[in-house]
Amino acid sequence: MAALVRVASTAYEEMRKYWDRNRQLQRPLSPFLTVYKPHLAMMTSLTHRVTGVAMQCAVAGVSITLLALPGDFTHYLELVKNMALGPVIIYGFKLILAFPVTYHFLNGIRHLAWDAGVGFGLSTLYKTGYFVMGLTALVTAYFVFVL
Amino acid sequence: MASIALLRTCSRGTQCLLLRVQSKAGVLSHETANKIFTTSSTMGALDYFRARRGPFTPEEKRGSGHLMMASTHWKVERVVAVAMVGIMPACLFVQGPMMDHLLTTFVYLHGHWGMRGVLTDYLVKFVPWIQYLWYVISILGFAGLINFNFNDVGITKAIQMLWSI
Repeated sequence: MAALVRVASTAYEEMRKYWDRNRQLQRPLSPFLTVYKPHLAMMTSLTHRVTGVAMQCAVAGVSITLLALPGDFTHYLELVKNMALGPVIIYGFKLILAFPVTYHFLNGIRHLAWDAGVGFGLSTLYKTGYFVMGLTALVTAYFVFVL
Repeated sequence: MASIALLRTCSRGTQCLLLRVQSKAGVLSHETANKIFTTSSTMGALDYFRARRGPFTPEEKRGSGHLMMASTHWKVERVVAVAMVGIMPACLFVQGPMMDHLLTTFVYLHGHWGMRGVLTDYLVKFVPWIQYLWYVISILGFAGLINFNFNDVGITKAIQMLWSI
């Protein structure tokens, strides 16, 4: 009479087996970036992260710098004004400031839609991706050259 | 690319010194615990920068001493993000002290959480102290913004002035 052997297996045990096997086979860690051919979804997501990190570093950095510096904002703004920078440099800086905010804002709406469970279809994904890219170009141009 | 290569190199190997979250007694058998956390003393300095690799127990994943569940925090983050969809365009039309504080609070909270997520994804497993450094930087930065809104021109006015150059 062969008794049935029930193997008690928790989720943690399963994971441990998986990790042990990975170690044994000397597998590399999972985000294996170099084997991927870049595609739209990957690049929009990456840009979202990069712009977000850049903006937060800039906000925190400028805020702490202004906290540490003795003068007030108007004083430093006058300094910049007195440098009489050419239009190319001014437009350039405005572009650098406006692009991350615009892109992160518009693509952020896309991310919020995904969080709500909407827009995962591959064709939808590409459409919204291109739409956000186009709209970002338009809105950024408006901020830089019109406002 | 270089940093990715560096991080990948650092994460190779099975050993790790990142004992930040020690497993609770009783959760793991002693044998399992030793197997996961074994470290060599000779390579100590290098091991420190190696990624902690799984498996993580449910207790480790949850962490300890949190005020709310991770899912609740996620919802709060989304509420802030959705609110920003309205607040940021509104700043183009309405300026003033109320808007200054609204904008700085929401943008800064969102940025702080976002950055914390990025650090957790890429760096905390290599240099765990970075999350505490990030809290210090965030608090200083937010203090700077509040000071700017109360004692200087305020953020919305400042952006207007900067944009009119």
